[in-house]
Amino acid sequence: MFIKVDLTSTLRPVLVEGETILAIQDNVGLYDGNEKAAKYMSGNVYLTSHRIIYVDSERPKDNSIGVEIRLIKGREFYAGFVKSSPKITLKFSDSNNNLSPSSNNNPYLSSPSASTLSFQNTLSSTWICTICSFSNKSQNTKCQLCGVKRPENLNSSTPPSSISSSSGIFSQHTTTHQDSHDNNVEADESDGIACPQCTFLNHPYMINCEMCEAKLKTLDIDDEIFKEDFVKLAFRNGGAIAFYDKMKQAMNMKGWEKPVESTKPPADFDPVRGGISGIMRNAEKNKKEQDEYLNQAFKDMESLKTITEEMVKLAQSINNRLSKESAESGASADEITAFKTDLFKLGITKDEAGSTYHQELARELAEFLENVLVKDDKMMSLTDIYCIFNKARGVALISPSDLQKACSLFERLNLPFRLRKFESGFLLAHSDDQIAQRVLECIRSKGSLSAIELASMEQKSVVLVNEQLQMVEAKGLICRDESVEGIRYYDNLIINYVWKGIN
Amino acid sequence: MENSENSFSFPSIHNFPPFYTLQPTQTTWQNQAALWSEIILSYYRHHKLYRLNLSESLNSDLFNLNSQGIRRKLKLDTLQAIIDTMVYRGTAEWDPPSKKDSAIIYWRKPEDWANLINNWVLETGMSNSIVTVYEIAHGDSAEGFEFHGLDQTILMKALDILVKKGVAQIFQGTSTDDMGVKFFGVNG
Repeated sequence: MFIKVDLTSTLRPVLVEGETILAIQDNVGLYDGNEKAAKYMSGNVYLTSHRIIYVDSERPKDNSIGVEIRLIKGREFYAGFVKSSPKITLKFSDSNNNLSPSSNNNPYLSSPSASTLSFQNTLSSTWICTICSFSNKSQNTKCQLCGVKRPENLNSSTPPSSISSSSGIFSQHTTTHQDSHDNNVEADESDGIACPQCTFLNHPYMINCEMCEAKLKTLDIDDEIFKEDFVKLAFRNGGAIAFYDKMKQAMNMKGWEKPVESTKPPADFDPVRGGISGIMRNAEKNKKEQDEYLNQAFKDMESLKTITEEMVKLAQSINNRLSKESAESGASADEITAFKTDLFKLGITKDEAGSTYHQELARELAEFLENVLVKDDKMMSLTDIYCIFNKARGVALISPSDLQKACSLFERLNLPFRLRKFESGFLLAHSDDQIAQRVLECIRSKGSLSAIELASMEQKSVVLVNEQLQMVEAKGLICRDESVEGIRYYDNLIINYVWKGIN
Repeated sequence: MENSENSFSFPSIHNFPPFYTLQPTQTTWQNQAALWSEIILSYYRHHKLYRLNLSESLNSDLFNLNSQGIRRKLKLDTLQAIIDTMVYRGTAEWDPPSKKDSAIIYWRKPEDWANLINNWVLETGMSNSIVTVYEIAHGDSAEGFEFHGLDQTILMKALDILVKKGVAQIFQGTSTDDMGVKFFGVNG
């Protein structure tokens, strides 16, 4: 169910077309069934219109996974109790076992009682001995039958054999469980698993080859990140209720079923609709749709929020038409439209992100600045950024204090921009790496430079250049030479200089 | 071992003007101080010097750059910082420790000096005889050995090490030069 997801350079998930972020929550851990998933202990969880994405905070590049909402067959909410954090359970099987005692959701049950615990253990946390194939309870470190130690890499799984051996009270549950397994088998494992050694086709549930005892790489272990058919999200920083509500909405909205506008193929030519009358009819239809949208949008605030994107597109299309008509100067108009397309994806709001709002805003801002700052001199005052960024967002404008907070997070989030405050109180965001590269190139080409010389070369103010030089120096790329003539900066030959000595 | 008696060939970094400025960036400064201490040790070994008087030696060619119209001179506080890092590594020692204006440069550690002296004693067959301190540093029989002309303070430190090891014994004389040392001819 879960698959790895791609991340942008700012460590946000790459969204498919038409996908929007609905909610973000930090410090969420994943459970594989009822057990903590070691690799996914803490990270940000993104709820988009299409997917639920987990971005690990420790190793985001390796341990970030996502699941499509359409695959989720059931959901449960557990409010948390004392030390146990609130959890949302995502189910991927068709079984409607909401009433099964294994669910932590029971509102009358403040904490899992002893019976449910033992049940969970027998049901969901068994491991199969590699020697005698006996299914043991998870708490056993040795095989009950043959006494062989439990291999460490062997994760607990739910083999059907363990279920059939469990007592009758759970028969209802076990049948549904097996059903789901059998469905899976029919769907993608009907051929069985070919042994890598002798090519014998084994039953999918075999661990070792029936013929030659060679270890089988079961499809299950290879392809699936989680073995259980339900996954829990533990919300250690709260926000579970809001997230659950958003998730319900997303599941009801079925955002993935909506056709993506830009990829919609043009309608087949219909001779009846051809000609001028067809064009007119089309125009009429479009107009009607737009009217509908407008009416819908302004009915109340909630619906306005949900279809903001359409509204922005509509506004922009009108804007485009206007600007086309007034035939603005070519280059800048091009630039503006290119710029605007960049910005469609913007618009993280406080509602979606909650406590991670400023972090997400910082990431979004960094992506935005990457596009904007390349054209200019790689730095921009905060007031300018405020204007251009809000202009780009169009809706859901941000406040200056939010912007400043987001910018001050650049360094902590390891984004390629920095917020610099001058003694005058003037704030400026810029890209460190690009400036460093440029300054270094200038200095290398001239051998050495003073701040004033660099300022006149770059046509920037001396104060600014001084700031930049000190920043580059702190990176260890250049070094200074203080003399009566003032400070000159040189390429840093010292830092990598090796002298063997004369002896 | 040495190119010529008098000239010491400095590495190219010695002609680099920023090398004479205390670099504010920590990583840069670490390598700068390490390079300076290497140069100082080599220079002192080359010229067989032992004592570095900071204010005096700042005028020597070691700490001055004068080529192609560029004049740079190491500042006193920079040199102090360099010697501090050398003291930390055990290649120098402030003498006296209270004031940071004179230092002993250990281009060979006192233990090594002690070994050299003991070897010399064994080789020249002076075991069980008494030698004055002056003889070790300036005597005819020690001529040509590396410790010839060794600084008094370092020499005493080396001898102290030998005494502690039980290889030698010191007899007090009227002055330090008159002090006698008896070697037992045991391998250190």
